Amino acid sequence: MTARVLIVDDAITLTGFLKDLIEQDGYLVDTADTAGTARAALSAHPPDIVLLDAELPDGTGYALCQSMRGDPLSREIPVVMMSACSRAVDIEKGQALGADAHLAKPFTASELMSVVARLLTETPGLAGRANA
Amino acid sequence: MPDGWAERWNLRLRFFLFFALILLGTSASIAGAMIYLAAAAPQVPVNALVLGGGVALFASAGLTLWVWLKFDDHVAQPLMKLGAELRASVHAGTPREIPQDTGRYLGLLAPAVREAAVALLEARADVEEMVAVATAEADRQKGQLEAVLRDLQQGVVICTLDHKVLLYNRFAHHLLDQGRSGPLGLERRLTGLVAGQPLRHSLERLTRRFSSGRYRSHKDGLAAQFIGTTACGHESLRGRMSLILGEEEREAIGYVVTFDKVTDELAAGIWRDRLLQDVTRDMRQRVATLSLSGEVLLRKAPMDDAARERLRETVDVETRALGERLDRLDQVAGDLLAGAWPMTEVYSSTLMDCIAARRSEGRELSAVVMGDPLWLSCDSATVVDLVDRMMNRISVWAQVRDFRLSTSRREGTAYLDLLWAGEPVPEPVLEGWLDEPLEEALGAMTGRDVLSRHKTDMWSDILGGGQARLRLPLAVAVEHQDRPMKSTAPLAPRPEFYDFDLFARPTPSTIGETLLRNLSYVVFDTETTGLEPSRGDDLVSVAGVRIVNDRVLRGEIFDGLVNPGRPIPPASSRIHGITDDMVAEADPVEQVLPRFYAFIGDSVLVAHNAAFDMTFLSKYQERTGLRFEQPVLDTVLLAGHIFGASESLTLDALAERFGIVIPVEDRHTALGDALATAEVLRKLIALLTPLGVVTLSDAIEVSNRQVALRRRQRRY
Repeated sequence: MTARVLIVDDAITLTGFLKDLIEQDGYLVDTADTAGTARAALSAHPPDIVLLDAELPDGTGYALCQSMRGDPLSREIPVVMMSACSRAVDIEKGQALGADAHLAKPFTASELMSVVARLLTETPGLAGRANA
Repeated sequence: MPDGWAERWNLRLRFFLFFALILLGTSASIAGAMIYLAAAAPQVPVNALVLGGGVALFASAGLTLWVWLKFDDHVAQPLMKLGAELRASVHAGTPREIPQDTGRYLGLLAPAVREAAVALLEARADVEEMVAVATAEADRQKGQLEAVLRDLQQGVVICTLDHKVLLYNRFAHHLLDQGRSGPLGLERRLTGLVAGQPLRHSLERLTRRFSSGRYRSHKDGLAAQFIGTTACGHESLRGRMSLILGEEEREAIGYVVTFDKVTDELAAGIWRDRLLQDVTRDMRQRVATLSLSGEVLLRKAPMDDAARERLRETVDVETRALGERLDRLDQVAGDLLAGAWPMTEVYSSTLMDCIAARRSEGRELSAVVMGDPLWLSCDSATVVDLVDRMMNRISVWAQVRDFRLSTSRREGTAYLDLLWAGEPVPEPVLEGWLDEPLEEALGAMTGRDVLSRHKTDMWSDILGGGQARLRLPLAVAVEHQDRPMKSTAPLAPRPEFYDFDLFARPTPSTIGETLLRNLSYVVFDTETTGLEPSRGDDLVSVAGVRIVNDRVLRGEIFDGLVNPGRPIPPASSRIHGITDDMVAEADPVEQVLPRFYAFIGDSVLVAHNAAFDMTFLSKYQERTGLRFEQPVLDTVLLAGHIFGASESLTLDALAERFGIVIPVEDRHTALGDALATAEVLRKLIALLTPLGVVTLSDAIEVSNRQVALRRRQRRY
């Protein structure tokens, strides 16, 4: 079964390239550009992994991540926090609020794909879905 | 009736009554004798008895009256006159001429009274002259201080602990004269003219630092930096508060604040920071997009795999390099803001105590302080405001009253945690709180601004066991033990940091003719492995303190441990308390003595029993190449000249004689003894002056006489 990835970022161009790359690696990709649409996508098509930008127009990625961890339906979904900040405190905040990994922009395609593959492999029940 | 008349009549009346009593007694005795004779010798005619008795009575009355008149004339009245003249002289302020015949029957009393009057008036004149000199000196220093303060391009305000202004300079007046709050003036409260919270917080920090004694090892001593604003919020101020201690240095009595206007500087710093932050974030986003677009292109472009891999490698390397550059740019932005916004070293327990005591909204909250204390680097006033605000909000949101405040550390990051029983604060709620202005802080500064200044963030998470946490990462201050220390001695409670007399002091043609009170001294003491340098004993400690212009400069001390390169005998350690462990890391004498030599400069060396200490200093002449050829004075010899060689002249005896207290823990330490000797020297100089020993040459001459005297005594 193909793994489903949800990309949550308001940078449309970047999201497009991400989607293109990830799909090329054989994943199903949904996108959302706000926390609100992301919540709707989480309910409509629960993803296997979420790539979440820290800054969203209607809130922060940290807030969405924290709310996912409080929701039984999304509690176990791995979250990769993408951020234009690389400070240790940003990484630590993401981890404290439930993120499984942190990617500081700019990152390379290979870094992204290796993180996605690792998390899908490490997450119980998703081990067979990593395509990379 | 005037007092003078009453006194005069009273004294003379008393004398008169005394003579009247004698007359009465004599009359009674004569009458008794007549009655006895009439009874015992009836053959004697009564007329003869009456006649005899009458003559006797008349004669004794006449004699008594005559003696009384003479006594009144020669004793009572002169006494009254002398007293009146003495009083008149004293009150008139000039010795009055007392007629020579006044009191001529009173022996030496009259001349003694005259001398007493003259002596009293001379003493009064001396005192008045000294007061006049001291007042003129105080006025001169006051004038110099006023001139310095007037021209200082920095605001200076001295306040009591309740923020009432005692002194301010023109710059402070100009800066704080913002109209709405009224002008800066004496007795007005400074907290009405500048934002009160940073002032109150700084004062609280310093008071806690003083009462805990930590100020002795704190690099800022009893001073703290803060950022504040004028009350109207128009101007930003960067200030430094220093605590002022009372005479006994047991309590704080006020503070002095110096401040600069940094409105433009801060605004520029914040603007630069935001600009850099925006630029780096934007660049990160764009570089990420470019990098990923490159990868997409590579995957779709028709090329062989080797070429694709080469290009991919190039894109990856350049992306990482750009990312690292942007990281450095972020760091530069942080440093720029930190430069404009002073981060001070704060002891975490002080910070948490301040938070626990803050109670800004009057809520009945309990905050227990936990964790191992550590040194933080932050702007403590705004951090206290921020955490206090969060505590108040959480208390309402989570319906809790009991909190715990804790600090912990991981590598270079310290964590200030606020803990409570309940759920963590959702991120959107916390974001809302952080966007609120902190009323009492600087202008409209929000919690988010405080976090931004500290280059940090804040979040709430769950701890388990029903506990929630609000975590604030802060920077750990540079470790105190890693900081190079100039001296192992505690900082002086009140360093002498100025001496206006130095401006007015003439430069002597020769040091020998310099007045003792005008000389610069280094009073020093040494501790050693034993008492015999010629048999291998060595220095283990040398300490000195400067005296300049008759003031012991407790802020200018030298205190160095010396590694003697040999074991210290336990008997010696018991005396000075210095053990092998203590000197294991100390520098050898070849490194310590040159520093001490530089500390001495061209000052006069002084020690108690100086010959002993000088022998040790001279012992290392070949090894160090240093010749201690400065003039030397010995407090033992100077005291011997004043009190006599037969008196006890030990340091303890002299200290006791002069009321100088040497703390038990400081006795027999080089620095403690040097400080005590310095105080003794000041007292000795004051006593030498009336004896005609006023210059260095005089002091050396009397010291040489004492040496000769002692040699002779030893010979006999």
